[in-house]
Amino acid sequence: MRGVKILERALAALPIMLGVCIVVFLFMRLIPGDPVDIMLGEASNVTQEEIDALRAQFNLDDPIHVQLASYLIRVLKGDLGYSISRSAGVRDLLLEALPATVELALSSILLALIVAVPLGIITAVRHRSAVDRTSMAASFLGISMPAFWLGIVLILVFAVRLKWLPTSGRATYGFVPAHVTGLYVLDSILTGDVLALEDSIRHLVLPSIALGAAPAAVITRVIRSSMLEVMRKDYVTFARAKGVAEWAVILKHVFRNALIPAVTVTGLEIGSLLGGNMVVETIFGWPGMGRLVVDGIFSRDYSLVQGAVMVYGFTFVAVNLIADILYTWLNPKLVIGEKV
Amino acid sequence: MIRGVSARAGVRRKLFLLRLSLWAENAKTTLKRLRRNKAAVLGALVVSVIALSAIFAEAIAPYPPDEMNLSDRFSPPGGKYILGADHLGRDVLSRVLHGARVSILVGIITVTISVATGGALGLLAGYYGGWFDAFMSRLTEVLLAFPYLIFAIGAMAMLGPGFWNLVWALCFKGWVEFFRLARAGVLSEKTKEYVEAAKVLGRSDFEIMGSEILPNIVNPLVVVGTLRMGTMMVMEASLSFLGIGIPPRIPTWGSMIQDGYRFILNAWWLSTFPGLVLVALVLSVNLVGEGLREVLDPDLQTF
Repeated sequence: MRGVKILERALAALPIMLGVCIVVFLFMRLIPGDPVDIMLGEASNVTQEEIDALRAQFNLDDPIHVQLASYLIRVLKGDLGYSISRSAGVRDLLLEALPATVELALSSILLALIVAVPLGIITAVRHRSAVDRTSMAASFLGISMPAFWLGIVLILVFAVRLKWLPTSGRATYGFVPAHVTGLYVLDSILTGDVLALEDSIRHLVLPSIALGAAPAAVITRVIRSSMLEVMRKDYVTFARAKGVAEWAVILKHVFRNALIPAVTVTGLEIGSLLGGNMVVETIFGWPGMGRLVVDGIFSRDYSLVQGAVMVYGFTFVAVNLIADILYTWLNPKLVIGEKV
Repeated sequence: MIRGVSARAGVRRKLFLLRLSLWAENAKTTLKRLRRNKAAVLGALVVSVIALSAIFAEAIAPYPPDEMNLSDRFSPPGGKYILGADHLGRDVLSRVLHGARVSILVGIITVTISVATGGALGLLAGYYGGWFDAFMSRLTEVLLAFPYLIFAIGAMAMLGPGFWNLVWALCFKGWVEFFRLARAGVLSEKTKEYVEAAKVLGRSDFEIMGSEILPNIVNPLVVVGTLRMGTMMVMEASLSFLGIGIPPRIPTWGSMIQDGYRFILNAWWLSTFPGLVLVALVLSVNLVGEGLREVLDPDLQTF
């Protein structure tokens, strides 16, 4: 039964992914000038016949719905086009940059959860205490602070002034671990390369803080407020009356039920993290997808930008799907797809 | 016949005036309750100070924002330049003051457009339902599938830098949230008795939507709208930081932070000050928004 529900929810994500493709395609059509114009650039010695021939060669003279259909088929085959600025397939470029982005995103969200979960619990249990007030003020600051500025301040303090941590990049030259998964931390553990492990962690710290601060703040607030709500419920009073130890009440009865909104928000935060990583990757010279996109914009490499935007969209849909499936595991009474 | 019409028009006018005074009354009590929230008052104060200095930037700023004194390049804060001078010898303080204009304008304009379009479309979709509602709901689901900043970056890549291009790029997706808020509000309101009563009285759909339903669903729009002003300001700064937002000749905090980032090793003040003001402004806007939430719609989940 639950399997069917999960499958249903997964199928419901398909039309959205289709929509993502269509929006990206329309974006491409909205650019002033088509790929042929871009290719020919300023060239003046081209006749109209030659331009038309080129258009026909790329099927740009077909009606728009035919172009859309062939575009969708190409995407389905995994063909995201060709990057002019880097002279390589967009898919290959994205795949190459993906591990760096995944590693940074994972470590940021991990960092956010390590801070947010205990802090959310403590602030809820010690409601209106000094700890609560301070962390709420801090979380407000975290929400209001743009990731890129936080990144710059971190570089200024910890890299430029104190010289504790490197300013940019993923690894010091010569410390790149042997390639297994592309995630440097994981690779250096797998290959037992202690020096590379230390080096890649040192490079990860600052960008992860810059990127993870806002999600940490949001998740703390959500855990706190939903814990406060659950703590007022009758079954919590009942558990206490039964003589269940206070820590068990908090962790087993309150926290588990308060987790559901936290999972939703974590899913959404991963989305904004994907957006934030463009600026943070730019600041820290992190060779991931975000920087690829930003470079692509400056070299007017539209197929690269579109391919990346589409991958970001797909990832976001997938993350939300996973969050939805996690709900049922946390609260079996819940029907998938229902808003919590 | 004619008398009947004019009498009805008179009643209508009276009703309209009554509504206006009710709105004014509501706004007054809201402000009164907001004033008790110290954090919100502090936020409002900071926002007003920054807004005023943006309006009177020309009068307050010690130097014109573009004036270059190449001999004073990288002057540290203090002395001739209170917040220091940048790589072209321009006064950082003057540029921060002028940069406030862009942030505040972008915040106000994008949120106004987003609330107006999203709210109106949400009202229509929720009220009429049918294919329009189905289409709009699917469309918003697809738009929500893109992380906001990525969508805006994609849009700016297509449109190119520029103030209005940036406003449109932010609004492309900005209205979605307000559409969903308004639509959800209408769905829960439209089966209530007062709407039925208005229908029985023969009032037109637009009257019902505008003067019956709207006042009852406007609170979350106001709260989220206020909070989103901060989001939009951060978004603008991020895009300008990347160099695809506002063209470089207009001073903005985002591009100032970018300039400072290039000289991060020798001039810490270039990025620090515009960033601090940006954080102060966004924080203050959020404090006001949270204060409004507590007064207008305490159950609304905002962050």
